[in-house]
Amino acid sequence: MTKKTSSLKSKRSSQGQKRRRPWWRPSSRLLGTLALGGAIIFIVWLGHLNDVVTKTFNGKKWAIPAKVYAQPVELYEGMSLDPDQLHEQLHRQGYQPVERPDSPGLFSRNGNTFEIYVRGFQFPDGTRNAVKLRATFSGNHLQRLTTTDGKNIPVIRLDPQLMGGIYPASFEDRTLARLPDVPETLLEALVTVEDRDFYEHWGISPKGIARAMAVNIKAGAIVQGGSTLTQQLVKNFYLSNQRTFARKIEEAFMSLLLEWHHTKDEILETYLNEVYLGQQGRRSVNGFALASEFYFARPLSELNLARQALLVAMVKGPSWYNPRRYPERAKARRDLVLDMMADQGTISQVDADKAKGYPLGVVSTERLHANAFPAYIDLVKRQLRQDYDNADLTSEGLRIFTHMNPIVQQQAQASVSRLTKQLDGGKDTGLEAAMVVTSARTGEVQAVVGGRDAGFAGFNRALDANRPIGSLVKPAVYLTALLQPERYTLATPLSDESLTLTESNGKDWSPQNYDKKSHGEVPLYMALAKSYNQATARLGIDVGLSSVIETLKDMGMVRNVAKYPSLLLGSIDFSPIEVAAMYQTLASGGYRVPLRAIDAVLDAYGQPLTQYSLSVEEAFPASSVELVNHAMQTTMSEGTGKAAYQKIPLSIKVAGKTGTTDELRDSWFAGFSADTLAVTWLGRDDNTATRYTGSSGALRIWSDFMSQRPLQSLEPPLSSDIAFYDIDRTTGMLGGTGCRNEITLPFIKGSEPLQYAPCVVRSQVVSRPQVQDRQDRQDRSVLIDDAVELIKTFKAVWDWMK
Amino acid sequence: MNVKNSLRSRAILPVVVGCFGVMDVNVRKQLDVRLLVLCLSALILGGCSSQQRVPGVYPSYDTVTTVQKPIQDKYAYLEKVTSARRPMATAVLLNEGRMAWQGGDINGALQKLSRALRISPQDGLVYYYLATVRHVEGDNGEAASLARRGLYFTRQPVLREHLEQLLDSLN
Repeated sequence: MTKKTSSLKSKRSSQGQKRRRPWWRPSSRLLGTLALGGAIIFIVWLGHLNDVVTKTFNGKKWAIPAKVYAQPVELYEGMSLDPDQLHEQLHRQGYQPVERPDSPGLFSRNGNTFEIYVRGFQFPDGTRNAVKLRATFSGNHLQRLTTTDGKNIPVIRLDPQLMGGIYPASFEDRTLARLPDVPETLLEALVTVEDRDFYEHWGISPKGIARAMAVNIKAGAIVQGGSTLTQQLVKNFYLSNQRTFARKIEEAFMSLLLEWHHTKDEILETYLNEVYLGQQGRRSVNGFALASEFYFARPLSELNLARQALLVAMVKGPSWYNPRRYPERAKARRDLVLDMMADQGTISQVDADKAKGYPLGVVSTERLHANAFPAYIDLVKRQLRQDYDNADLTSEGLRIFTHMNPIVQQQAQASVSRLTKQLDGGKDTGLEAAMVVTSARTGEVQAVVGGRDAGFAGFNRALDANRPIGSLVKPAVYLTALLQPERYTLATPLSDESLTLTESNGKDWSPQNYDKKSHGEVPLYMALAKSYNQATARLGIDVGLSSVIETLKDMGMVRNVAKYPSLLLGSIDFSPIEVAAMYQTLASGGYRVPLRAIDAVLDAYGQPLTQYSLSVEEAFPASSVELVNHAMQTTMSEGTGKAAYQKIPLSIKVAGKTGTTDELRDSWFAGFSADTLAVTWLGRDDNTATRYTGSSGALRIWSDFMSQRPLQSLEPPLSSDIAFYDIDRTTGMLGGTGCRNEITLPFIKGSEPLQYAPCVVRSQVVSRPQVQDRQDRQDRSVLIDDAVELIKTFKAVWDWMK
Repeated sequence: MNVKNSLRSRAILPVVVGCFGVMDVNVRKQLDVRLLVLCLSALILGGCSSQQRVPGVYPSYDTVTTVQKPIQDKYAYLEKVTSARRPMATAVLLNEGRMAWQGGDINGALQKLSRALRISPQDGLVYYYLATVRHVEGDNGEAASLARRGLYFTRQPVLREHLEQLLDSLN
């Protein structure tokens, strides 16, 4: 009973206590419920974090922009190449000059002999391993090409220069590196500086946190982070840059989860590819592999200890330690990294001191190594978008091989920039220029310059400046005529007299010549060479506007043009690349050869996706085009383009045409040698006058560029149905003995004049004086040489016999 | 004018021109025995010398090369007969391109042949090979255009024959 009573008391007492329980003391059930609820929330939250960590990390981690490569520089015996240009190109590609090249990416030069340790590379047609070669030049010719142990190399490519990329909207750029490809010392430096306990902790390092806290309390501010590499990766990869407590907690748990699911190597490799290491305009440079290209223009595997240490030094603050902007600050941090490595025993103090003695070694201009050629990349993108989605281009890590010849592109940019400045009186009054250069036979686009500041990715005039082409249209008019050999030959007299025509809008149109004079009767070839407007308009009307438009289409014109007479003198708008496409048909001898900027596209694993091979289509009979080209050669020797020979050697035959528009708003020149076609435009974006004609403006840029190239001269016509005749210039009739003003002209066989000029001495007329066909002409030059030698021999022997 | 005639004229004409050159200068009206002997002997010598090639004065397109032994593989034979004045680099790339397409690697073949074309854009054999690869790919229209382009650049009779045969087979 007593027990019962006491028990009840106690119960009551306890009930009384319960009733009297202070409001702040929660019941154990509530506590239990709250704990359970909290645990559930925590588990759900942890599950969510786990989901985030595993899903993102196991899948595709990044959108990898497409990489765009220039055409590799090809080396072979007998090729024309200035050794200084090779030297510059090696420099541009990050090859380092040394005394003895003993690893890929190094070269030495002793006078005209180079030893180059060429890097290995995966080309569209297979992988080429690194090879050490010796190239000996004689003047501007590659005389001998061997391995350094003396074996002949018939032909070899350098690894191609990286031109830039096609970036996503975030402009986040990176090149992926695999852990085995990263130098061991770089990994050691990174771990030493950023997270010494990396291989011991589980994602967070209490030791590191305590160390940082001590420093921060002492400083009274957050001056040091205690984050491990894993935490840094989590922060960059999954979270924002906010420094809140909640975010730190989230980061810690995610780090633990990441370490739970993945190996240290996987985490380290991802960190190496994720880390932010610089900025170029809108483009962010991420990962050590891209940073190596960006700062040193060479792959990660080729970095020496000093350069590796610099990259590690920059992890702390890529802007603060930017070696281009703050070299002293960057060097101090780099040297600190080297000392830390020596302290930790990862390198010897001797090696650290030696590395500290090196300069930073960053390439002087970043432009050369990242989108230095925006106009060309623009063309590449436009051609690629016909076959690929933009998302694929910006995220799938495609490798795009182009036909941009880095040496030609540099020369074209230099000519456009220098000459435009010169023509602009040494100032920048808004005078602009553009240039397109192609391979005359194959249509490969070798260079595109979109403005006088070639590195500026603004308005691409080479592709988008649609301007009246003026007299550049004339070859189409003359070709239309020469396609009718029964009516027109190069010798046909044309009337260069004033005329008035009615345009479709009812207005009268009376073309005048540039010199405001009419020239009477002129031979057809000379009317083109001198670019006479009245003769051309008359000819165009005679052959028919529709026929001229058809010719333009067959040359490669893709836009529709209205049929009105003033188009005969070029009042139709084209961009420089469109003009290049049309003149390509002339340079190719009548074959339409589409312009190609892209050679091949590979996927991220090196598998070929698309190959853009040569395509040709016969557009005109070769013989007719050869006649037009002959007249365009006369333009260069006697006509509006003759100033070009102030720069180009007379021995090199080139063909071309000037173009000038009303009030000197546009100055054009388009011309070609046997191997190179270039189109140049000079004008202003606001369409005001330039003060320059095609001859005094664009031609000067064109000539300056062409004079830098090892040009191949145009050959005599190759067609078998072409024959040459001596023609009296005055009458256009057959010449002969007695005529003093003759010219040798090509004719489609059967179209040559039948009558002799009055100047021919009648007794000399035996048969029509066909000069020779192609083989005969060349044979004759051999014969003349032989004959001269023989005459000399005969004279010597004759003298001796006498 | 065929090649034989060309060689013959190359042999005789300089001698004739040479003799007349001498006569113009010295003995237009006094043709004596010494001159006749000299011209006749020069004719004989000139005929012999005509068989020699003069480097540097021939066109860059293909020229005839005498082949001592017939070669079984028609492509190897073509490479041989059209090899005069072809840079070694082009020859190697042509050969590698052919090996690639014969081994079924069309992409590799097109890459090699494109490189060859970059070095020798007027080599008819490169066009013949490109046309053949396109034919293998089933693109007969492109093959025909390339073959015609090859014909435009080549005067070598054996290669012309092959190009014409290819064109016939495509029609």
